[in-house]
Amino acid sequence: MSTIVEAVRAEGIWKTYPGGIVANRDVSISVRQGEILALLGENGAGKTTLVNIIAGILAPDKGSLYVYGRKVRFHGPSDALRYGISLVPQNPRLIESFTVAENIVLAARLAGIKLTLGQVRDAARSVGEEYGIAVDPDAYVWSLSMGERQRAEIVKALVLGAKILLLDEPTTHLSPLESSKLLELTRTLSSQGKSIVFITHRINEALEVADRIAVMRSGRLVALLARGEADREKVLELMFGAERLAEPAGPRGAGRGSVGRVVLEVRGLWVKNDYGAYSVRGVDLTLHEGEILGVAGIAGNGQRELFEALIGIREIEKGKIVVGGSSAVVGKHAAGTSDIAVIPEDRIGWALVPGKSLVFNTAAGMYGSPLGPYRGIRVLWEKARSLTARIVKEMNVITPGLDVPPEALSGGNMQRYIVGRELAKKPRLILSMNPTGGLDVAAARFVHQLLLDAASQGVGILLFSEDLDELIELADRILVMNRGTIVYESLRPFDVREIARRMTV
Amino acid sequence: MAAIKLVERAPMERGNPLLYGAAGLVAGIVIAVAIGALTPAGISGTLHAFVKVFSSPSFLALSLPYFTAISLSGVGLALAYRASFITIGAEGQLILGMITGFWLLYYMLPGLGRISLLVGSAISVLVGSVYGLLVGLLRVYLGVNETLVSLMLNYIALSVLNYLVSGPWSVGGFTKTDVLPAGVVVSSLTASLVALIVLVALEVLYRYTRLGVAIDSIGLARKMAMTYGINYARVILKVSFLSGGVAGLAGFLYLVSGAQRLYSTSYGPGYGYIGILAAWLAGLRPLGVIASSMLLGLLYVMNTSLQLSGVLPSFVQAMQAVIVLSVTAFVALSRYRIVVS
Amino acid sequence: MDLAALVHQAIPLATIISLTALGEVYLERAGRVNLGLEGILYIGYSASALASVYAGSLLVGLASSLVATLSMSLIFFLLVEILRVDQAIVGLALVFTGIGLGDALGVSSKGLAGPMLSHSSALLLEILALLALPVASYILLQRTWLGLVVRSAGEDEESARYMGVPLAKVRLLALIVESILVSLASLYFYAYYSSGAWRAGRPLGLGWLSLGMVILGYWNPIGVAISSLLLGVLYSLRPLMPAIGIPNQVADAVPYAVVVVALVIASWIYRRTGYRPPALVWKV
Repeated sequence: MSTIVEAVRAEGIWKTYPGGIVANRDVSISVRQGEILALLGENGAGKTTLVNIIAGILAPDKGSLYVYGRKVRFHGPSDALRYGISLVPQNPRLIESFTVAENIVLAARLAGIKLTLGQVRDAARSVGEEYGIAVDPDAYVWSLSMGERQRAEIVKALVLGAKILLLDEPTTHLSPLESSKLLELTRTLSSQGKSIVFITHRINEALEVADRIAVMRSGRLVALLARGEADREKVLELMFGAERLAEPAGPRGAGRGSVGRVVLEVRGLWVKNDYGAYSVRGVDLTLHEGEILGVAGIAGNGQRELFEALIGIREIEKGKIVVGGSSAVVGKHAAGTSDIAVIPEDRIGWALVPGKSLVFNTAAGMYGSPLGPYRGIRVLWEKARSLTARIVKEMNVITPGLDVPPEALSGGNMQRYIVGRELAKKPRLILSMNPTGGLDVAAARFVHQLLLDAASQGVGILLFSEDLDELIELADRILVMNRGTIVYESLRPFDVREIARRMTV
Repeated sequence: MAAIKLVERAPMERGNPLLYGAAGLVAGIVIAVAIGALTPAGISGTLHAFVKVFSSPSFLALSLPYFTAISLSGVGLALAYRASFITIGAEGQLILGMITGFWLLYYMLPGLGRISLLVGSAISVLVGSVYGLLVGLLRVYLGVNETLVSLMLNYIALSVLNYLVSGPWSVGGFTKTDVLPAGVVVSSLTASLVALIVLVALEVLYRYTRLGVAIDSIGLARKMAMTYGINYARVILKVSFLSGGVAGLAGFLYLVSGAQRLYSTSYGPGYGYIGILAAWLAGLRPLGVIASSMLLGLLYVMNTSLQLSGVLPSFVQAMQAVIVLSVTAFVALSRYRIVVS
Repeated sequence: MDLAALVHQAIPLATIISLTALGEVYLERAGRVNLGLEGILYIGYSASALASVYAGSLLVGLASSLVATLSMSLIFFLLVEILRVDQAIVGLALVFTGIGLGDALGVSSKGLAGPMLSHSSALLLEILALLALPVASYILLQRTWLGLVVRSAGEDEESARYMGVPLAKVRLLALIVESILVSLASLYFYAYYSSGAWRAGRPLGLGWLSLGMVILGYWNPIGVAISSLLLGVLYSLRPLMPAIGIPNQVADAVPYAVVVVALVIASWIYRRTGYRPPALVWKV
């Protein structure tokens, strides 16, 4: 290599989402022609935001982009495509009832590239031969596996003349065999002069293929390592912060974590995702009274599907869920018809009914609870109101009133209200997923304290979280979920290094 | 070049939908009267008829049979739409209610007087309910689009009606049946009072029972509803049964208080369809349906005076539809800010 | 009656239904359902009658019909696509608006004989409705990139938006195509099927049936033409029905029952195979 050509250069990128979360803080990074740049980072480190900006899907608040030295401004993904930049999203965005070739023609025409179906077929075949990607251009997308769809997306990008490929966690939905094939493919592509940005959580993958490894943390680019400089432990420390991994974390539970009776038992659970593939593969877990059981993992490893199966809104394919040590098996809607509290990750639409008052939301949320504001088929609105008033008071919910819709509240206050409502069911079991997602520090701390208090009163809490610090702070035990199975269990004090390692295998 | 853009407002900055709805009502009435220009009556004739209908109480009495039929059709639909169950089957259920009522009162239970009214109404309600439930069952268990199926079922019901009045039940070679015996004819005031009671009962059901909470939750946030223990299938089945039942009652009451016989028209009675307009005009509130149905019922009465100037009855339905379109458009507009750039 | 004669008799009705349903195929493929078809066809019919009678020219009739159907479609677009009002209520309100305004327009041409469509022009429209347009539409929708753009809007709104499909524009275009086809159908109905005589209520039901034929033809233009032809045959069999003991009014119900059965079967196929009918209409 005589001269280094910079294919893309991003300079001083800032991006803040509505709600105040800063996803990118002054990120400057470049991708060289023909290299594989791995982009690593924890959940929420800002990787996806960065590639979306490079691909023209998001506009940065500040900062500039250069493609082969030329300053560019993108108004949409088609603009980026014209400069040869193509993003392969984590979840393939193909029209399922179209063939692969039809999807490519559609994308081409929308980008102003005049390709016919015949040309696309030929191009797909020659791209397939050149890079060794076998995708039948006439196959319907719905008939393809996730791995094949991923490849179809890459073929699409190549046929459209992409010189710079941004792969957003391409191995999330792939089996180990498929993943290694994909890594092989990226190597072939780069040897042919394509530049590749490869987002991943799996450090091994990055070490295996990347020419350089960029590590992001809390929206910043914290390191850029050349191939020889990186090793597993170093990258792990950069991703999670050396101080966090340094020693076992969390004091021994002071009076907590005493093993009580079993409140939730899951045996051999298999659950499919929206694409019909198994994303929960034989999960076993046991939760005791007074225990906070944390489930850690990189997003997309089956946690959401497991959570949805537990709360009764996703079909269970195999296995069973037993609540309360009895033989009562949780079926559909069971979560709502007993003393189980559910704190889902989306507030509006999943925990709350938009457009209806808080009083209504109390009644709806406690629909299945014996403590709900009902007598027979009657709704006791006065009771719903007094319950709401109590929740608002006890949780310090700042709200213009009890008759306003939840949209009138800030995210933190919504969550205080939700947690308060769920606790009002006097639950024995709390199923919770990312309960502090998008909250500021004070609100998050408040929610944490509530969960700790509930646990100390004997409630069993299953806590799914993408925030490892949250789990370290709250949980008595942490399970690591990877590729649909529980791969590791850690007790207090936690071996954070091992947890991080297992998450990123 | 100036471009007009609609920018969606944040939830708390939206306009008051009631205010916007009122403005839409005024605008709708203005447009509805204005399109009178296309008719032989002209704008002035239409305006005259409009003012006359709304200024004299005697027209209110004339509008009662329409009010009964429209409001009962509309109230069930309002609840169904709240649950995002977009059926338009009230017309067919109403027709079956009329048919069942006539069959029972004229053929099966003659001479029983008031008792036959009770039995007749109960069975008519049941028939309407079952016809409505059919749509719900297809929706819940087979995922069949409820709008189109319910529409087709309306036409099937209409064909049955047309068959009966031109064949087995026809009298004197006309496409109509005999009149009901006087003993089972009910004054339109009584019928509308019954409708009013049912409307209030459904408002109570919507406001004060679990079903009401479940309906709104499912319509506005289905995932939330299912997460917290509300059974989607059961609620849809209940709603389809209930809305079918009230539409059946609408048919029965319209028969005994208004029509008093069955007859054939190519349009069908149409009150089930106007009920859809009434439901939306009422903002899908059962009590609101009282007001919207009175308005739409009164507009029906305009027919009598407009017909004298050669205006066809369908024109009033167009006026009704224009008013509803205007109100829904204005209410929708309350969610947006108009930006000219 | 032999089959050829039966088909021959079926053609006029099939022409009207097919044209209307083809228009709706474009719209439903683009992800919207226009329940107002019944009213739009009606106002097109009356507008063409009025203008044909007073201008004495069918071309003027067609233009006036197009203006009427286009304005209805624009109302639909404005309310549904821009203001996001529920498409069912807008469609239904347009039914009443169309019929009411149609009657208001048409009544002044009542009893007046308008110009009639010549047999050759009628034949042209028939070929267009049952052969040329279905095949052309099939090719356009299934074999061209424009068709891919239209269908993507109806298949998967989210992915389509992600890829950069201008959804609103696509639907506006589909509505315009629908208006054109419906205005052709209404002209044919007035100037040929009704021999240039306007009568209140004549086309009632045809719009609804067209909606049904879209489903029966499984959103395929050629399928739609075939089902329209079948419907036409069904109607031309009607005079024979009383002879075998089926009253006319019961025969009236048959097409609607057929559509219900078609809907149920289509949904059943979807449930069993996961193969979704090609329209967003089918959100479950």
